[in-house]
Amino acid sequence: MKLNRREFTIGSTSLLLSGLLPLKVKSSTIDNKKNLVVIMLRGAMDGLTAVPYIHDNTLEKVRPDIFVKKLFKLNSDFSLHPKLSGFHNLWKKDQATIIHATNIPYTGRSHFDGQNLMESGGVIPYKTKTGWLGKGIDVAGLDGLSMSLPMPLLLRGKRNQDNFYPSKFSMPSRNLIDILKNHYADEPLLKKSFDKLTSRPLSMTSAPNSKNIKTLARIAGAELKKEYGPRVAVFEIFGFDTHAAQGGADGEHGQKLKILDETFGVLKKQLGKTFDNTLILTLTEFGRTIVQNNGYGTEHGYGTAVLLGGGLLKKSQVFTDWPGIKKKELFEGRDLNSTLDARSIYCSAMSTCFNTDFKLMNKHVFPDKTLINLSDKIFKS
Amino acid sequence: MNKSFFRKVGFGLSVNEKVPENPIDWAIDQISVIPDLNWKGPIYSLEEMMNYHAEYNYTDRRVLRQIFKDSRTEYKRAKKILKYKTGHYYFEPLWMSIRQNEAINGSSPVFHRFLHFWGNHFAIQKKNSMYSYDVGPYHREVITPSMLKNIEDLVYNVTISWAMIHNLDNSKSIGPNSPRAFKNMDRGKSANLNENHGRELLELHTVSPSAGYDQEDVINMSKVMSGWMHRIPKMSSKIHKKEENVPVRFIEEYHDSGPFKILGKKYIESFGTKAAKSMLRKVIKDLVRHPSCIEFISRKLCNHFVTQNPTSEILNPVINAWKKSEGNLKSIHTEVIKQAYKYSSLKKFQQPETWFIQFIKMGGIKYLPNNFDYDFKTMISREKDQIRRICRNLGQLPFRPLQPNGWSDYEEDWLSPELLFRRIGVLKKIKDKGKYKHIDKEYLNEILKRNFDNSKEIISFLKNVSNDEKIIALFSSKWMLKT
Repeated sequence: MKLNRREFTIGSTSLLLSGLLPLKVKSSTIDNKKNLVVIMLRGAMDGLTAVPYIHDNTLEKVRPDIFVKKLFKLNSDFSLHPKLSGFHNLWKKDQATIIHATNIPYTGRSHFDGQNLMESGGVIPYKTKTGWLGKGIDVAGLDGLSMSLPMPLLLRGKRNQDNFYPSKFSMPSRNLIDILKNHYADEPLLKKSFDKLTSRPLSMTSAPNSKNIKTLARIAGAELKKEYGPRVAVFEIFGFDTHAAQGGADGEHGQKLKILDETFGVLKKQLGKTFDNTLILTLTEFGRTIVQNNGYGTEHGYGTAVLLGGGLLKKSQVFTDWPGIKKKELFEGRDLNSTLDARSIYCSAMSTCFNTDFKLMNKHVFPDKTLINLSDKIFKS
Repeated sequence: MNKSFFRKVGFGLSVNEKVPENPIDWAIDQISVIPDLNWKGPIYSLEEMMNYHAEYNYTDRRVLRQIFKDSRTEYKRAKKILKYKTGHYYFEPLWMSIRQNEAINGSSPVFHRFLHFWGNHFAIQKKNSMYSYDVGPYHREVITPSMLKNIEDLVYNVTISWAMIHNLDNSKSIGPNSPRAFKNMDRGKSANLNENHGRELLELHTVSPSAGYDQEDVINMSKVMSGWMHRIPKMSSKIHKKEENVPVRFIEEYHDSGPFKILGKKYIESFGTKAAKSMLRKVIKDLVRHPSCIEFISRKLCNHFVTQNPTSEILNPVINAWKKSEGNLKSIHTEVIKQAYKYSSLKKFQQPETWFIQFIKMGGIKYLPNNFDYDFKTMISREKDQIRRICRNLGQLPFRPLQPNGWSDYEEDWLSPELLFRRIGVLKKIKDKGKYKHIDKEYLNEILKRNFDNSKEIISFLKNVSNDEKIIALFSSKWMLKT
């Protein structure tokens, strides 16, 4: 195994099965190694719960029972959910950015189609069998490795990636390992997989069997900060689909935001100085309706917010072309509109973290559209 | 004798079974009748499961969320009790145990291999807890009875099944020229087609994108399907408690009566409900005779049972059998079996669940619980849930594929370091539980004698493996992973 070409992913989910963390290193970029951490928020994270619009009382009026009080004020227009206290600390250090009123170009309100497009980066559900991050890794010319069951669409690319996910299972005896290694010699794919499996670093093989996202964030952080360690990590947090009991500060959505906040916190602590060269980016399939429903929750919507953290950010800011939330300003009269294709954020993030030309990345990863390069507005040069 | 054939189209032979003298006849006999269930434990009908599912949905959505709107902790506690009461944790392991019992102990493992194939072809993706309640009965009551019929019947029965209609959102579809659409317009409401089911019927279930259909074809297919839905009569509070768990009906009010044009063919509907209902069957009949459908599904069958990326020499006999029999499933399956035997030297990487069932059957491993009764009041035992946990760890829960195209059947998607590790890890863990004690040298020889043509080579391979790791070595060998 060539250490300087190794890419490694660690998966994690806080509550459910799979997650992963991919990582990669290219020898030419070791001197300027930048890490990209992607956190998928499955179920449709409500951007207006995480980052409420407070310029007027419109939101409070239509959400009388679930509008969150005691917010962290960011500016005259926006506040931050109280469960995002760690993220607020990043904000105070110019290490947090919110891009609001954005989404992938998908208005169908199906979780499955939406998540498929969120990961594939395409515009027709299930048409593309690879993910935008996997394709971006291909463009950057790096090898891939992920850790999850199964491999998430987000990370799939042309290259045969490795994968890992903590478990209680253990390897057989050294003797049998040697016998199998020899036995698989004439089966290329088996050999390749077994070779990778048996040459995993000790930090992976001795990783605790925990599905807890904080534990996995610690493992990921420890690997990301290694000079020759992984460069990309992916996490998943499930459960944002709060049709009911969305609640206020302590409601279901708030609890999920707390998990997200803890992930940011553990990564920052674990990464130490490496956090300066790291970008954390959230994804979700769509936002939620402006108006609360009868179950004290919200329905599937459209526009939402992307949260970014890390030392690669230019400054703390809420970046948005705000469409407004008056009835006439809403998408189909019910949802926050999207004024920015979220894929512009993804493409800009990869361009920055992989030291790759934006147009080249755009052409190969998101060929259906010319996206906006946000790098100089959002990220440090 | 091509003994790998018993694993290619079945699950291998247990030491209690004789090696069939004529393997092809052995296999064809099994796909010629719908076998009786071997399972002696509890079993529930689709109708019963829809009631359980309805109780779960209704109580959760309409009762608990209202009562505990201010207390997340109390809501979660109450929901857990509801899950016990409605068998939420119980039914999926039960369905999996029945499925695997039939494969291991039933009289027709070959039939069940084909059932597993079609269940995955007409996949119900992980959605709305359907894996807990409905997918097992859907396999038994919708797919199984259609397996001796024509492919047209199978596609049609699946298409109008509750599971698929719900899975692919057809109940949310309103034909743009339907009476309901005009009513909605009068009230200032929108009325849209939901293209999900129409698209998947073309893309995944029949002709595949190679047929060259376009968005207009998808829209027309969705129009043909409009009106097939589960819809609750609003006047009855008793029925309302069923939520979406009511039988599928054709409701003409939501149907667009065309005319339609799909893949270049025009369809003009006669007046009346009967004509509207029969239009879907007409279209399906044409779809399953389309060359792209024949090639697409024949290729999937050969890929599953013979080898990945089958050559035209393997594929053409199956295509010809399809054409000659006009889609008779027994004829198609028979030809697949013949090709699997003829080309048994070609290897195919086995999906995790298939491999695991083969391991259990060939190794004579005791792991299915003797008693599957449940009190609907407590968490199910780890023993009952074992099979589900093993398959989850292997990366393939058969009743909850993550996407509507089912579980992958390609080596590349299953042969990763972690998934290979899981297979070896499962073998080791079961060994650590002392489940291989019955396998002595003689028993091992019986396994090899029945299932492999290269017994001597395998014995040589196992020679340097310690006794307590011989089973791990055998079932993680290339001869078992690739069959």
